Amino acid sequence: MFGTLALVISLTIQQPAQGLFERTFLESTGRNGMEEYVRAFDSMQKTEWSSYAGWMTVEDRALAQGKRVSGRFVDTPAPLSPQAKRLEILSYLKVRQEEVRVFQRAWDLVGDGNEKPCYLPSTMLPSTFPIVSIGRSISKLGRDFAYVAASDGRSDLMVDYLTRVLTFLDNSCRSSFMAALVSVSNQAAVCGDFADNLDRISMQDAVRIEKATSSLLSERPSFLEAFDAAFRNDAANVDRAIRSAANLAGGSSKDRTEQRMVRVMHGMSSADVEQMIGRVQKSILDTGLQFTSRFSSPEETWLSIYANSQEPRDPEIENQADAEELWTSHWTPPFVTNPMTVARVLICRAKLRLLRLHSEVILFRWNHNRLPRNVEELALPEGYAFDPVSKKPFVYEVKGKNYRLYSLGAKETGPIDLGSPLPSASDDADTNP
Amino acid sequence: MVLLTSLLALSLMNGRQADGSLLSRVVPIPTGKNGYEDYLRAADMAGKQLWGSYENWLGYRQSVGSTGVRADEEVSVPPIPPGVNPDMSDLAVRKIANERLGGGAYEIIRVGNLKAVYDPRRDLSVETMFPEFAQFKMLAKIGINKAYVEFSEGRTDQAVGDLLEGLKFSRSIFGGTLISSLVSIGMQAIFLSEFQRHLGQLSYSDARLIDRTCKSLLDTPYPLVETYKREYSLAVNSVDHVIDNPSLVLEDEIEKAFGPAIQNLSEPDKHQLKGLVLQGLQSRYDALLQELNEPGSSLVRGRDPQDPPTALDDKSVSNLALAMLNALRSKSGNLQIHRAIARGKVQLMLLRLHAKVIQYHWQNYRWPTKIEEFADASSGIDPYSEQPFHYELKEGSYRLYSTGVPGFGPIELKYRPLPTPQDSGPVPPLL
Repeated sequence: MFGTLALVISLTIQQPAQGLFERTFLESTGRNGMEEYVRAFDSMQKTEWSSYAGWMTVEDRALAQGKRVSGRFVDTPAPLSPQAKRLEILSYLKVRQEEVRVFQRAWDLVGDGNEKPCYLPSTMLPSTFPIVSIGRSISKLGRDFAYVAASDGRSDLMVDYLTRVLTFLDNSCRSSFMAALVSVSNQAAVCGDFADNLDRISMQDAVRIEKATSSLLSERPSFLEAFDAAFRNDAANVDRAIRSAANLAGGSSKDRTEQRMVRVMHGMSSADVEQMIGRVQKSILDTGLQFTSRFSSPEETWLSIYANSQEPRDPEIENQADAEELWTSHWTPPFVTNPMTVARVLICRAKLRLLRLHSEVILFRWNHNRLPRNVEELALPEGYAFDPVSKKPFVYEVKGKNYRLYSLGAKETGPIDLGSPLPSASDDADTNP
Repeated sequence: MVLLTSLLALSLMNGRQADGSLLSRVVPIPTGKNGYEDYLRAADMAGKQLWGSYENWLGYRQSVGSTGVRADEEVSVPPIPPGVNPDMSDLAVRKIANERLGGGAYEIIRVGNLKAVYDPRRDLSVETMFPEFAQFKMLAKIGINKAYVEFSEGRTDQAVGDLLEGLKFSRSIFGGTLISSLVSIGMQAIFLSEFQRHLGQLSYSDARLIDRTCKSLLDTPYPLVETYKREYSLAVNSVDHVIDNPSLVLEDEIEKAFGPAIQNLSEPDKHQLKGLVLQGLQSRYDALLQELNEPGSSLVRGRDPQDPPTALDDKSVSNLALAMLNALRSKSGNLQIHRAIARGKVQLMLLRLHAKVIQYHWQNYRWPTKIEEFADASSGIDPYSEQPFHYELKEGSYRLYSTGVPGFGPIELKYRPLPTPQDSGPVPPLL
């Protein structure tokens, strides 16, 4: 205990303004990729990352007038810092070039983190961990590194950096459900960058893309680990909520659901509450196990898991059976009932498959100095051309000297191509859990 | 001027069969100071036959690959080039060709581009052969093959560097003679076509280098006055020889009607004929110099002077002189040559403008909305239409073209990003 206290004091002395790392990790294990990601994030915050991420020209700022502009963050804090003032007169490329120089250390840390497994420390509540900021900031940093590399004619580095972002997203999204949600939208953005740069991809780049995408697609889908983590976290945290509700005695809460739970638990003894906590925790874990095990079936069946699953009972129903069922139902993560989460995951996986197919088309084009007439001419490994979302082959069309490659998609996804945006966040209730 | 053109066209064909080192045949005593000597050395290094075998094989593979071959269709299979296995991909064949032909030759061309370049032949005559032009065009094809391999390996800076060296090489051989100028324009078109295929691969630094190099090439005046002067001198110096050998310049039908009459002229009549022909050549040369002093746009808008038709039954000395003069004037006319040069210049301007658009995109992460955002008056105005080049945003990309040089129609280098299908639009690319 004294040792821990001494460490905390020492950290406080060294860094009066604590970073996220100090607030999150009592000590560095050196075995958790999240430690490197958080270090990278801290290092970015200390170097006024927001000035770079929120960069706009003077003219754009005047035009935006505080509105959100596609592809850029315009919610830059006002008044502008001297650093932001200095940057706004530079071109987009100059700002990104300076960013590469300033944040090289942070970017290297992301590479180090990618070499390790990634998880949240047990002391950290997922709800208090700023995974959205970390995911968005590091993804943006990596994409900017890729932009500068491409502008220098280094397509090899561009591909390395974009695949590093994909690996970071895949790795970090295993840590929590929220991280998985963040990962999906950032993965789509990375695929969009690949779509913008297909022309730049050389033979060797295409081979590396094929390997990277195959590797990402062959592992157990990372979002399932996020689902597991969500059930585990819920099971771990439900006890505090139940005890808190039990102590409310009469219902001072303004939340209607909470009032109902307090009412149902009225009169329960402490022993009964403790026993119920154990049963609710087990029930949440069982539900999780049952739910994620359905995803061991082939990918093309994943959307139908929702069609066939029974709707959980609505806690609003007045004749709810008992407190235990009410708690279990209330603590079921939203993705269990909302197919849009899995639809977005499927879209991202389809994009990875499309990226792999693009790399095959590009390889063919370099080898033969023409586009393949059809997918068969690519002589693909088994399964490459099959699209689990539409349950049909991906569509490949040659149009003059160009081609189009896309998935017909499903009702929940619509058609998918490498650069298309994800369904808007408003379609996805899970983004605001 | 058809004399030299005809002779040189013949020399292009002869160049394929001639033996021995080009350098020793064209420059018996090299100075080491003339880049032309390096070009000849590069052509010697590449050899005459080897590239042809790779080119034929690749052409055969392309025709089979792009159209498919029916079972009942007979396809003539060219000989397999050295080092090639029939199962190899086109890229593998290109790499072998590049290893054997590309690297060394382009290092020499690069050295030549750093020197002053001039035709090493001090004096031209009707017997002068130009066997190097066929091989210079071959070097252009070897250059774009080299660039293709480099692009495929992600070495865009090297690929762009090689294509730009190729453009400098093409430009350096412009002048001296009209045929070398036309060969120069043809070689430039070969390099530009490869640039067109890879516009989507260009980095910011590539685009800057292209912009600077094109500006330098465009700022260097085309030495047309010197070229015509040399052509005129050659024609004047050849008059005696042509009068003695009219079949060298006269078309078959006219030669049949006038050839014997010219050869049977008395010495005083021959002297008179020579005087009339020289007078006619001088008059034409003076008119040409006047044309060259006019603004560029009027050079390509005018019409070639119509020579009076030759009456085949009139064997008078003045009519024979007219027939000789008509034959000595370029059949295609100077107008057509000016238009070819104009088109080459517009194509180079378009490449520079593409480089500017691409630089703008890298700098601002968006395409410009109008031409004024990326080009100034010196680079954005089409000198032949005297209007700005046409620029429009289109389906997440852009389109840039010239409404064209009269007689050639619109001119365009297309930017074709891979993933977005492009509408072909009404203006066909000329490259």
